[in-house]
Amino acid sequence: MARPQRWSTPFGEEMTDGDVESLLKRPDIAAIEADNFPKHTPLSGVLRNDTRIVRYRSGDIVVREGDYGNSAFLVMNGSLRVVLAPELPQNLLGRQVAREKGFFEALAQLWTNSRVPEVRDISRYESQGLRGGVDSANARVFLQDVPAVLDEHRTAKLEDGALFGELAALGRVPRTATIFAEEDATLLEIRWQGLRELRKYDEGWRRMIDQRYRENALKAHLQESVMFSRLDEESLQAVADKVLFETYGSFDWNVAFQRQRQSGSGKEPIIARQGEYPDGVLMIRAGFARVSVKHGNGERTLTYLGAGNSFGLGELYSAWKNPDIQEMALHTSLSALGYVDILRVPAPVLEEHVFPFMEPPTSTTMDIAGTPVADDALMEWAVEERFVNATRAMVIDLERCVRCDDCVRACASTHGGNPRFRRHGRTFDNMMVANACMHCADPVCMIGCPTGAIHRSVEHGTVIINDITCIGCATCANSCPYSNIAMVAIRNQDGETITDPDSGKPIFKATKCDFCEGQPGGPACVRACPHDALKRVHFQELNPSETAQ
Amino acid sequence: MITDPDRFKQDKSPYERPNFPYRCGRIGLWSKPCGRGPSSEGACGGVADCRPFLDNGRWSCRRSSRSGGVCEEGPKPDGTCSHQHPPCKPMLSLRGYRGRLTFLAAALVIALISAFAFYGGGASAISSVDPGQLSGGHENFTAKKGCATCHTPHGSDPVGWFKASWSPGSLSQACESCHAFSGPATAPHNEQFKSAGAQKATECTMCHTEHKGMGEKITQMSDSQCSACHEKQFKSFSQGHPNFSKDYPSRRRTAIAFDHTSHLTKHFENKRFVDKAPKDRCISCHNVTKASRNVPVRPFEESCARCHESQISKRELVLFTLPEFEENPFDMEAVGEACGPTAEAREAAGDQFADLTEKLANLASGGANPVAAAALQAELAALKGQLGFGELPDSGEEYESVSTETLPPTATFLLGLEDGEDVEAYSEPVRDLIMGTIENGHEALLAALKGRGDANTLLNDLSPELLRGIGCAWAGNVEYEAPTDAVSGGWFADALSLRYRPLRHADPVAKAWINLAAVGGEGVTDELRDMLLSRSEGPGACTKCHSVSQVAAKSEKLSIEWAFGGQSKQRHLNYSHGPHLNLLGPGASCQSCHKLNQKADYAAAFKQQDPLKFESNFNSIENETCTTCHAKGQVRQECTLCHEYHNGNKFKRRMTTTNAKH
Amino acid sequence: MIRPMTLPFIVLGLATFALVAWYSRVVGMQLGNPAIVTGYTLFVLMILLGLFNMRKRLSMVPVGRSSLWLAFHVVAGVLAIAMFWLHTGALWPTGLYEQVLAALFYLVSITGIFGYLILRALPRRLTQTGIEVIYERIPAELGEIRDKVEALTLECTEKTGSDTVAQHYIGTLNWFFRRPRFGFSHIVGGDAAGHWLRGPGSAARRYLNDVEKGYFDQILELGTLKTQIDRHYACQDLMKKWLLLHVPLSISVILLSVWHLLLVNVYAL
Repeated sequence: MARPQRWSTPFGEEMTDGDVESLLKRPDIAAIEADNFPKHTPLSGVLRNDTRIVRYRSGDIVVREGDYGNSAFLVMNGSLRVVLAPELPQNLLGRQVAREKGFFEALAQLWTNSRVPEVRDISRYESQGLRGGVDSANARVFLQDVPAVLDEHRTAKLEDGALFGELAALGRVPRTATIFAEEDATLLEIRWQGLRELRKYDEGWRRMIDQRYRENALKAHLQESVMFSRLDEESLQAVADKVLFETYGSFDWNVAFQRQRQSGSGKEPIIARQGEYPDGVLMIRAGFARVSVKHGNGERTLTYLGAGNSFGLGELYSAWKNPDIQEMALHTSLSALGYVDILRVPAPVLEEHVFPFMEPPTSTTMDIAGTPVADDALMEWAVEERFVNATRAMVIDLERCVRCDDCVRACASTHGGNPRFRRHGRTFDNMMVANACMHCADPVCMIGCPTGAIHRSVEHGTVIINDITCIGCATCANSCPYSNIAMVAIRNQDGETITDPDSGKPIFKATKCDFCEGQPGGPACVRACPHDALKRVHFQELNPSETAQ
Repeated sequence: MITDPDRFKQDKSPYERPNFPYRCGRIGLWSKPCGRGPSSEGACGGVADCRPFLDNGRWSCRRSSRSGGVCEEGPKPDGTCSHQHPPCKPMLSLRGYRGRLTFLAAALVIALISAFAFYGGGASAISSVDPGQLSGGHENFTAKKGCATCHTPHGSDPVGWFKASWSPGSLSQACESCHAFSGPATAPHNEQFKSAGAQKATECTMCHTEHKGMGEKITQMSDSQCSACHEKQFKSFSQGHPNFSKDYPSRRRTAIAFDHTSHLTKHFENKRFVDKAPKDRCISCHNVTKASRNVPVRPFEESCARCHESQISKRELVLFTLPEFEENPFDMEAVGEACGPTAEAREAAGDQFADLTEKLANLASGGANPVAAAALQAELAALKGQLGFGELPDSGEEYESVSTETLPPTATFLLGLEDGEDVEAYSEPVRDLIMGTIENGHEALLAALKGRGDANTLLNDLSPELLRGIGCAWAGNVEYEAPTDAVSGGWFADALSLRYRPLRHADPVAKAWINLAAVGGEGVTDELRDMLLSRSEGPGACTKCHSVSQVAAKSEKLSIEWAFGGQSKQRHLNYSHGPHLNLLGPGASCQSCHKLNQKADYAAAFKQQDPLKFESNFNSIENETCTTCHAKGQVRQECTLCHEYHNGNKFKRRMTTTNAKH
Repeated sequence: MIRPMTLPFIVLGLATFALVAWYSRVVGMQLGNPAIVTGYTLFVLMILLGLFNMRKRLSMVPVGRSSLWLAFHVVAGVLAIAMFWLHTGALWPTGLYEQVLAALFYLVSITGIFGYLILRALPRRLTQTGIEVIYERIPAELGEIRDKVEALTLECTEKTGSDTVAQHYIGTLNWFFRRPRFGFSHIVGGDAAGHWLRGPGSAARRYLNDVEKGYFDQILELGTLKTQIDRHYACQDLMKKWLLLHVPLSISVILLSVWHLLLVNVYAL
């Protein structure tokens, strides 16, 4: 078989040149200056391969709040509604458990699993051909009684030309709202690679995306924060108008991180410095930031902040409450761990719209500084190793683990006879974070996948790889800062390595833990550990100041 | 590798596959495995590092990065890899090895079981069915047939096995081929209890478990095994055992009416008998050397005779009294013929008669001269006539009977009459009997008693001379004159009666007559019974001591308890005085258990004939009597110490004989 | 140090034992055969214990967490020993077959208890080495270290022209680096390997110049690393190899029990 090339698996298989032509005639597309695009990725190519036209009927749900998605939508015609509050009930959203294997289907793996490592049935690749990047289903869920929903829920209207989903697609955060079609609508779905190209090469789109963000998603985002949840529409708008967007760190932070690990040194971009005067509260939109304080001749990590956390609120609030006190400098520093999206809410806005109506912040990060250094050595280590990114890290208690490899065998038994993690990894005290996919909050592995084979499971938010569309380019494996994706040379049933007939080089596939997607009973490794030594850990549970402001 | 900081990188650390059975053989040599690894069948993955690829006519290296990437040398011109290494012999993983070991172990076990399953019938053979050595006794009996002696399915085919597993109780049947009991083998206690409801069948193996080794006492039982069935549950003998029955251990009055109270407190203390009273109290009479369940009493001669023997001979039995007749019933001629001259006539004849008689006797014994004999006979006949034989009494003289008595019950019994006062009724039978005794001695009496008791014993030692003597006298209506040298005991006669005086204790004649009266039967009248069983007169005095008991409740039949019986043995109960006496010292402490009950009216029980109505001389023995010693922490007190489960436990004859052969 | 999830099983085990002991006593009181009650309980226990092995093969289906199974396995194992004694009424039976069965049962029990103890004790010791190494990779790691040591030895010889280090390697150190050593000491927590390295292993050091000492100290450092790997090998090896006894013995006991059960049903019931 031939090695797939970039765009050989277009996002929409039915996109025709005609479609591209007519798209280019749309005013919002026509405004894009095609000349700014490099030769290897022309605008038409982006439209041709990174977008697809999808149609929704009235009531169809387009995106669901809490879903992970990696594409943005441009409304071509029709109108959509974004549900602001209250949330739609889960059953209306049509949420259900992804089709899991039945008991006997799962049991059948006992004899269907291969004794030869990494066996693939190549006919599957041929018969499936090269499908579009994401593994999206064509089935839709629709709302039966749209007027009732409109009656009972506060909604905002999205009309022709509206772009949505770009924040989720670019920031790799879950969808913040549910959007459904109010009447029949046609949407242009742009996968995040395409969106990235458009935002990268077109200044208009960059502004537009930011603007759209400010107009549409920002308020909902602000409303999610405790600070702004009580504001009325008018005040919220006032706040939204004044909020500033900032990004710190490189988009490909993992590369810098790996380099830093090898060289042993590296500077994290400082977002706010201890001792400086804050001019506003910093809200983390995406990514992770380290909260630190000077300790001896170094910086002591107190905690880290993830999406939704904010920084500097305590200091600003006390300064507002006690205007006589001159000391309002920041007690801690904030630095970017990789790529961080920040919303800076200026102090005057807060003083006008927020502080008079809010309860005083209960705890501050400074509270943590009172504990001995040894107590948060674990935190320091987790931040240093960027394990804070993990939502499902495999942590093994080495004082319980008898090294029996039951977890590895269990993993193999649920993955066609092949383990999907390696029972080694970085250790701290008696904890070992094994080389198993952590299903990161900020999954850098998904950056750069040319076909979108690596994606988030819509149902579970786990990061999974579609073996069929994986082209074995190893981009994800190399991106993963934790070395948790492994490339394997695939074999046929006879155990012979499958090679590309043109080059004689073996065909590789990226493999990793899929958190036993589709297997009944959750991750087999946890179930298989006889000593309860192995756990899948969300690192925020180790964070003592998760709720700290 | 551990020295490499980048060792976790995916391209340096491939997946470990502990689920695969084979590992590169180089591991066994403590060195690095090759990049390819063995096949799933355990063959070496290959001797070359890569398979070169023909690229536009040129071979190019395709060594994987894991094996070191593209090599400098490149493939050989013929397209083979230049990095060849000797093949390894892949080794099984530890798990694979474990799997094989497990399989081997299972196979070995099955093989050994099969190999030894049915081998050897003998008990000593090694067999996988061997459940352990039998107890000593059984070990010998099963030597010949082996397991099949008891286990019928042994040696049979699977069908037999299958059937056997659904047929319980076959073991008990096997036991019964040697063991037998007086009752049903699988009934509890081998008894058919009347009061119990539906009885569950018992199996021998419920209590007796075998195959516990040669020395195992399989008959030893625990108390809990007994209490398994018994409704009344209690902890131990000393704690909760039901009370002994009232009057225990007496269940009936004693055979000998020996009033312990009066003897011990009155008679033995009496100064008159001080030289005769026993010196050692209880054990003077009770023979402790023979103590078992009972402590038997020494014989009469040793125990009672000193005081009571003299009384025995005073008790006479009147067998017959000549009754009064209204007229002479006898044919005097016949009497004369039978009896010969009367005493006076003989005296008158004097020496002549005696001389003649002597001559006649000599002739009869050795004489050969018939002429002389005939002459003598004639002479004798003349003499007889002279002496008045055959002479009728003077018919004119009025008959006056010498006796004015009536017939005693013994006589009416003898004659088969209803009463002894009807002169007309008895005259003829009496005459016939007397004439019979004159002519045939006691044969006549034996004939009269025929069919009614043991006539020989009843009339033991009764001499024909005596009978003839009294017969002739009474037939002649004269009083019998007994010879002056009268015997001290036995049969004798006075003027008008025939009597028996017991010779000693347990005199058979006296016993026979008393038994006759006790048993009753044809012709035994109440008068006869009253006479013979009277405690105040005659031979009935025996019953002063030997109790007279009804054979069964409401039965007319009586029996005389001639022998000391002790208390009858109860089934399932085992008590022995022996160990107690040995422990406590002979005799010294009988009364520590058997306490005299001085208030008891012991004698009253013997005035009637129901043996179960009685009052014992002794206080009944209570549980406490035993539990002072038999209690927890002291002397043994398990059930089987006193109780015996089985009823009539014995071996079948067949078993003992067949085994005697080898 | 009982893990919380074991507690319910302990309670359940004690309850089961009490129930069976009580019931077998009741049966005995009724002149039934208590050995049937205890025997079948024991047999069921053995099967359940054996199922733990099956559970390990069935990781792909949700049949209960393995840790729960292990907790059950441990408690049921101890219960089985108690049940065994209840069943036989003695420590040692009389029949040859039963003796074989009992001997194997005791062996399984002993290996099980031994296994449990080492599985609780040794992981700590491994963690304290500060390194972590996968059992299957130990030969490769040793091979790597040996290669490095031999390379250092060669380099030292080439650089200094003196073969003192090489001689010492051939004469003494080679023995140490060839394969895992001092296994028993590692298992019981001794430091025989370190002692050896400081003693005979370092004996040649006094005959070296500074350059040679540099190489030699690197070699000894690798020796220390190897000691830690040896410790991993010794402990992990024991934690795996006890099962080589436990599992085959278990299957033997179960098979023997089946035959025993069959015989009892055919012969004695």
